[in-house]
Amino acid sequence: MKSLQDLFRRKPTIETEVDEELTFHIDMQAGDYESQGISRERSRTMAESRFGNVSQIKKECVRIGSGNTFLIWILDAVFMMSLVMGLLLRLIGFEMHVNRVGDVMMMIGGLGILLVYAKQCGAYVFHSTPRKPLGLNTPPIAFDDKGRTPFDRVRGDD
Amino acid sequence: MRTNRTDIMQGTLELLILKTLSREPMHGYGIAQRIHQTVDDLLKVEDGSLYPALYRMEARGWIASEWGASENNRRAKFYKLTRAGRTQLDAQSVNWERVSRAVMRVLGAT
Repeated sequence: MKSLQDLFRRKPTIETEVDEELTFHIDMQAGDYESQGISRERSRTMAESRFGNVSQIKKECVRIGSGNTFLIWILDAVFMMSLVMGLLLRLIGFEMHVNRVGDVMMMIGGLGILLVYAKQCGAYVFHSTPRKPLGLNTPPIAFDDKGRTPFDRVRGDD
Repeated sequence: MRTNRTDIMQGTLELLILKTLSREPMHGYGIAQRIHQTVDDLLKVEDGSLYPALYRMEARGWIASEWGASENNRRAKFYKLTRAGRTQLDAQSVNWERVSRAVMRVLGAT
């Protein structure tokens, strides 16, 4: 029910997505450190330190990723206005040509809204369905005897 | 001891991402790992800087993303190169080679 509400409120899922994506990255990095025998706490700290300023990066990604959401919102508004104006013309227009303009506007508005929502629904359905792996083949990380990655070594972290 | 390494130039990260994705679709972590292993000690690429670049490139239509299951069966966002991205990769590669040739020529002239 909550998901349905989110869909129709156009609640920005971008924040959740970015959050999930960045968390995944840090978790994977920490997991790789852990698998090399580094303690869980230290692995987490190292992974976060390696990633950088998470909140700033998240904010930046949300700002960039919100562009499409804004465009959809604008499209939605335009189609909605077209539908309402068409309806009004149809209701108050007495002459035949005014009625036709109203019909066309209603049709454009209605179809547009339908398309925008269909796209949203499609994105929502595909977003919610986990898919098969796409053939990721990440080579293993080479750790030295101090548990440092090549990345740590070039940063001069001892 | 700090090794000599260079901060990545503006726009170079995008080229590295495009090239990495030209082989196969990958999630952000996979892209980061592949780039680190390829550039090794020569360039400094911050993990976090990858994501704003990915979002910018997706907004430009060079890459597309979809959620899928990672190798450890976690939900992850996978990126793949689009046709526009492949065109961009070709153009940027040619440009990069031209610039590096020009710089090398200047350096070799003295």
